[in-house]
Amino acid sequence: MSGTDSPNSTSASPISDYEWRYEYYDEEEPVSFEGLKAHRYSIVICFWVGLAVFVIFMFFLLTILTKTGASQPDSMAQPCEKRHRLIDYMDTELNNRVRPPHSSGLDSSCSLFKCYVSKEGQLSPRALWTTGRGASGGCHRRPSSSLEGEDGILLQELAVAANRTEKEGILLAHFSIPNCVNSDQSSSVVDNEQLLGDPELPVTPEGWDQSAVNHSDHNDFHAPRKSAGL
Amino acid sequence: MNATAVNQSDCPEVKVPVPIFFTIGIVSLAENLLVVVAVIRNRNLHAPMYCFICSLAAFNTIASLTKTCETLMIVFADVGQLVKTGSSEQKLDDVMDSLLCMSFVGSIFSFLAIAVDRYITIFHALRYHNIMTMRRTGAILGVIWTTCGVSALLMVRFFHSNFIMICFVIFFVVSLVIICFLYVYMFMLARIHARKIAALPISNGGNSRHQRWRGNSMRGALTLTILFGAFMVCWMPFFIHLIIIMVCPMNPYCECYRSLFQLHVVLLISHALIDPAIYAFRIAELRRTFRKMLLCSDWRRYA
Repeated sequence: MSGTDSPNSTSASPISDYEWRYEYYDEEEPVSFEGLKAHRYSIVICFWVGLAVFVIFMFFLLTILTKTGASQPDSMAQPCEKRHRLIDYMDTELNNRVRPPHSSGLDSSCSLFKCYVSKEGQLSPRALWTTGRGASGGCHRRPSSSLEGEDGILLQELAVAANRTEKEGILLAHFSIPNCVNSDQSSSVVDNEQLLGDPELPVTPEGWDQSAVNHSDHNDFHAPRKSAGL
Repeated sequence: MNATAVNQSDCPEVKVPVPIFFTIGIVSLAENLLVVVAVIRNRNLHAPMYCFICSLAAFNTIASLTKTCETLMIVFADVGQLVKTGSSEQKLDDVMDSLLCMSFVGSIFSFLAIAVDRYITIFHALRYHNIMTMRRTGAILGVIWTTCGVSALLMVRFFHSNFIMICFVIFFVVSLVIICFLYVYMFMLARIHARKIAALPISNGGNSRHQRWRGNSMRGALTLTILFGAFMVCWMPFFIHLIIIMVCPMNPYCECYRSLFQLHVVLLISHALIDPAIYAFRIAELRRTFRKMLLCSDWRRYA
């Protein structure tokens, strides 16, 4: 302990050898273990206890953040209501069903529209369904020429979006409720599970920018009204 | 040398059995290789977010492969098949250390990239496709891989210099802080919005939405805790080890901490094992691709 009793073993593990046995730290004189005041593994114990406390503290902090203010009543304007109903549908859609655009894009993409339409009752479901039928499946880009205001921009973006995940991203971004909620302008409403676990948000295939808004063969979008939820 | 220390020291080195290294290495290799192949094969997954996850899986694959090879070489060396001080073995060992360093640095960079990508996805959703194009993603990944390669060479070359270790530790701490900040910020702002939605006075479905929001929030808190907690639990011990080597090599308490080195390495490589579960397997599209790949059905759909 106080000296190298076996110089052979010390010299048998030169610096170049340390990778093999993880013993590099023993090259110098052995450490004296006499006169220790605390337990010899105290650093180890302190480290792990500290880490566990930190992780548990972080978890409780996050859960407290979710619980505080949950029951605050808020007198929001009525137009927000319909928007949030749509958000519920979006949440469900995002969490439950995500289909790849190539395989069954028609069903999933248009089901989102169907939810939108059926809830608001302003647009004909059939119109949106036919919008979705494209040459190669999936909801194709179908810019509308008769849209107005914010609704128009939203539906135009949705029409132009090439696949379901893009549409979801656009819907999510739009439904950040800037008018109804006094919040950060760059925030979006995101379901937490989807945020951290299953990020199916805007996925843009290459070439989106070049080919957007160039197809005008279908104009099945009819002008939604303000009361359509936006 | 170690025999002397073991006889005299109250903190004998804790040895992890070789089969554990092998098991963790091979399982994590299989998982991460699966993720890489799935992302490459499925065209729906050719998006920035999935590219970063694929890069993380690639780094983890390299780490597992290298660690498994190193364990194999140690086994051969112990048996006597390999000469420990031979020059070719040392060169091979240097190469393996470089690859390990590269994959560690790359993993941390990939975590950073994933966090930043999610941040942009949430807070700049409308402009996401302009900010994060595939070309930029490719450039970012190129920069990450080049930086990792260069830093790995430097680290192995100058490992005995404390400066390199200090840089490594500082890099880790800075990345940890950035990742923590990004995720907590995302979480908090998402909560604010979700809370305000749930608090709306809606006649029907208000209660169910509120409950659903609470359930989702709890799940989100748990997800974030697991993500961040796993990162810290797996990486911190190794970095504390590096700090202790530099700061107190002679202290008996530090010696006892350093005697657990193999356990810390096991934790480090087990993070490569649980990374796919935290990042990749949570994506429904990836899970679907795995199922298709493993069941060997319907290849052409994703070709």
